Amino acid sequence: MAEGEWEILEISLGDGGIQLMVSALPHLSLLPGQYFLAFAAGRDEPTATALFLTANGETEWRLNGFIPPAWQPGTRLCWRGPLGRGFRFPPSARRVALAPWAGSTDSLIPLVNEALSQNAAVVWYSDRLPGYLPASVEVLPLDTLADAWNWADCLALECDLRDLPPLAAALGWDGIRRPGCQTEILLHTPLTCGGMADCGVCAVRTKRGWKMACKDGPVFDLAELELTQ
Amino acid sequence: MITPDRSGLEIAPGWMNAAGFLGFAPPAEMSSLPDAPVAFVTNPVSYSPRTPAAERGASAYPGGFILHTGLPNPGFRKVIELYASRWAHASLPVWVHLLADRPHEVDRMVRALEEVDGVAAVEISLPPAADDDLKLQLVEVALGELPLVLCVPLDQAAAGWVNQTVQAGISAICLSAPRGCIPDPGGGFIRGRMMGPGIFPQALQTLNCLWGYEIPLIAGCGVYTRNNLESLLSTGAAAVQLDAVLWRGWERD
Repeated sequence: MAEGEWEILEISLGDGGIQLMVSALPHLSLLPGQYFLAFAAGRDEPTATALFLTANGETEWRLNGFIPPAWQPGTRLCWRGPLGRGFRFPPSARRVALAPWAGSTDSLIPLVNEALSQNAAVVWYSDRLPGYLPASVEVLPLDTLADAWNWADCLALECDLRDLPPLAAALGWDGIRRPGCQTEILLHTPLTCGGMADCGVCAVRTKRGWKMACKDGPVFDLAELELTQ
Repeated sequence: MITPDRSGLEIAPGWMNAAGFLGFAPPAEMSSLPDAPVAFVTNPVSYSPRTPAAERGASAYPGGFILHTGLPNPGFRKVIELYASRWAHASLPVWVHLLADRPHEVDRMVRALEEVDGVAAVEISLPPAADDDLKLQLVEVALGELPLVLCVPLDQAAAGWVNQTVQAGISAICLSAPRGCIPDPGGGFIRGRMMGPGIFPQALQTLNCLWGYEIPLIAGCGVYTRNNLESLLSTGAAAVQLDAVLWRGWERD
């Protein structure tokens, strides 16, 4: 884990909410789904904000999360990270499906480029389009998500922890049978301590007991999760 | 009744973590923490395992947030099994924080801790809904060979039962986060412990008003700057417990 400071270079309204642009940190090895905790000193922020990478250019990164309204271009952020477990994309994947559920933060977008770079076909299941999607990506509505397991050999999902049951229903998953392909899910839940405390505020119920999203996640193997949280 | 050994508690002026904010054993990597702590306080440990609260969450309000976790832990036996060796090898004194629910459970946990290397003190918190008699009973069974630190929520620091526990022989009082609630947008209330810089003035005021207890007072709650910490120490706190600032980072003075 590293620590440092960013200056917010730009703030824009993306499809998954407000996005920040900051200087890239090319020396950091970062998996999609891992997060940073950041706060702006002097702005009365009692907790740090979890930020997820949505675009990783050579010189700038775009980050997304539930951005405090006091943050403006020029605001300096103290950050630490990357934290948690990210998506582990199988290099052999040739048919990749991505499905951000309602309230998601565009954190799956970096997986698009990763999939395309390994010559995989990519389907994006969503009822809204992110600002940037390569033309080679097929877009399908969320109500066809149940077909994903018939086609894909790798599925990445993103949702709020409370939305797991409706997402599972859309997939046709009962919480017991094995998913139709390797399926990982980024679960949004308060990542307040950043893995320092085992405090339990981000606890996720899995088939192997309670796990902490801040350090064991926020990306989980869907097959490991219990539907009732 | 066992005669308490108050002299056993050594507190250097400085900071330590509040229970629940740095895990069950001292972190291997301390570089992200401010300066050097004077002690390590474990996450709260109950006799039986506790699962996370169904309504867990961190809900912001101006000046702070309500933290509700359910204080999950694997239970006393499992905690000892997992962490006792790290306590024994810790480079700083370890205070084990116990959730005191039932007198016979507290008695068993405290007696067991007396045999564990590296444990410098027992810190206990009492059930919010317990009556004064039960609170006093829980404190009395927790007294023993190890120094006993009693966590008292800020809003109860002047309550009569606190003075009774001092007379009973506790070694120190630790001022801890009060409970609060905010309206839930979906109806009802979000309840939990109040965190954040908004409660620091109440912590300082409480410390200012607590005269007459001839035992060390450990202050905490809402400390987000080094100036906050120094203010509490100069007002008479024997040490200061840091909570959510450890997760976030120091506010500039």
